[in-house]
Amino acid sequence: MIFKKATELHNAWNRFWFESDGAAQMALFRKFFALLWFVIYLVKAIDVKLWYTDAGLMPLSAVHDFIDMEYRYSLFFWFGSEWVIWAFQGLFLLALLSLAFGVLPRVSALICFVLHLSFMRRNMSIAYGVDLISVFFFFSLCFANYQKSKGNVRSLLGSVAYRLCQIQVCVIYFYSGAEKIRGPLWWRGEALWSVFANFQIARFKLDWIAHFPLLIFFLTVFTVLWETFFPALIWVKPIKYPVLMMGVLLHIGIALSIILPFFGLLMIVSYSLFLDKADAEKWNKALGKCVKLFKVYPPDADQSYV
Amino acid sequence: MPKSSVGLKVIRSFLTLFIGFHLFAIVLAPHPQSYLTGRALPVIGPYIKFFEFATSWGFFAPDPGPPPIFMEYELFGKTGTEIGRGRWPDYPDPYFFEDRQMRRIQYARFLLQQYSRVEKGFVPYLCKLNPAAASIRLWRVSYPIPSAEDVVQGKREIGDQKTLEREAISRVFCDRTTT
Repeated sequence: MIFKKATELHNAWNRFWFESDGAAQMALFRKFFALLWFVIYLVKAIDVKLWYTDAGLMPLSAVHDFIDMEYRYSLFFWFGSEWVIWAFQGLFLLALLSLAFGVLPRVSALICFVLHLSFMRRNMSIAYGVDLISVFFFFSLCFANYQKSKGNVRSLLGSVAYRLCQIQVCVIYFYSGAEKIRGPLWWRGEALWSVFANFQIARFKLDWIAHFPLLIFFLTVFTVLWETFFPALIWVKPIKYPVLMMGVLLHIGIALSIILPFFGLLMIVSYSLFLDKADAEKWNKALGKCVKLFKVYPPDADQSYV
Repeated sequence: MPKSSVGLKVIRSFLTLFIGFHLFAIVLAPHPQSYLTGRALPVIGPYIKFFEFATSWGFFAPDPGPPPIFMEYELFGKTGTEIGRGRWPDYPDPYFFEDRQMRRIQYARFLLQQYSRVEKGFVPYLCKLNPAAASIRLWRVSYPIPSAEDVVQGKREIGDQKTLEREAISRVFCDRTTT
């Protein structure tokens, strides 16, 4: 009896981690994710000198004084001159484009992962959620598989990468919800007022919301409950899409009320990992048509899901 | 499912070990106060630091974040007369891309956690930017958020200066030997 249960558990583990067919979902995620980061680093390029050179706000000599950098490495600790930083910035943008278009996707992901970590660690003071979450995704994309294959090393690694991405989204939401439950303002249902009323990050002056305490209460409670229970609800197939739709609304709401549009976009992009295979394939096909329309698709790119 | 070869089974076993370790690390890392994380840190610490997996996912939690916060500065020339003043980050947001402003806010929040960071990071920049400055006086300025009731009753407004807190950080001399 115990042996039978153990075998079932073992088989379930193997099916979940090693036999998932997430190639279409990962391909879709990869495209949106890489394009989003292309835009983010394009915007960051405006301030490269300010953030990453000794002439800017974070002299290299101060980096190690500010944060414990044990086991944390950056290419810019050894190659710190301005032209090198610009060269890596250019390389990063190219790697993001090739990742988006599926040209050598794993090599591109590895380059992106190393450069993302390097830029982040050169100046940790400006890193926020969107940077930190993406570390996990860049890492997993280094192993992703976009071919319709089974029973080889590539498909094993691809399956693991796909599941790690999904689990990571669940871990993020669970802790985000659990941390909110610990906060008195979240517990009382008043926390979102403090966010809306923070004029430094609010997109608009939102005084009027103060007149609707019930609205603040329900939005606050909804945020806490949705985030906390996302890791469980997302695996229940009949309610998966409504859960994702609520997430889309939540993040659009955040993006509209405070100046964090990239964060919301990143989380919405991560939902592509939870789409059904058929839906992900439809999206991939539609994107492929758009790209072909503009004739910008590289001829030797990964053609499994375009 | 295709029949697994011995090689694939071995790889699966190694991957299972990796997955177990990785999950252990990413589940414990966001909760550094827990007993288990403390015990596991010597094992998972190098891994989560090397790959930057040591993140607490408390977005706007447990508190919904610091109130609006700024670094204000006054620049003094060699004779001690004020030659300029300003604040970081700018307000209102002067940038088309909001991410640029968000990172500036993040920088101010990070530096103001420890005033020594302001002196090591922000002051050298100001000195380079203003060659005539001999010293800089720094302030931490924050605008505590009014309660919703006070706003409804008309006692307060978002962004008003009724409870503005202004705290002197230090006065620092520009080191012209290195700049």
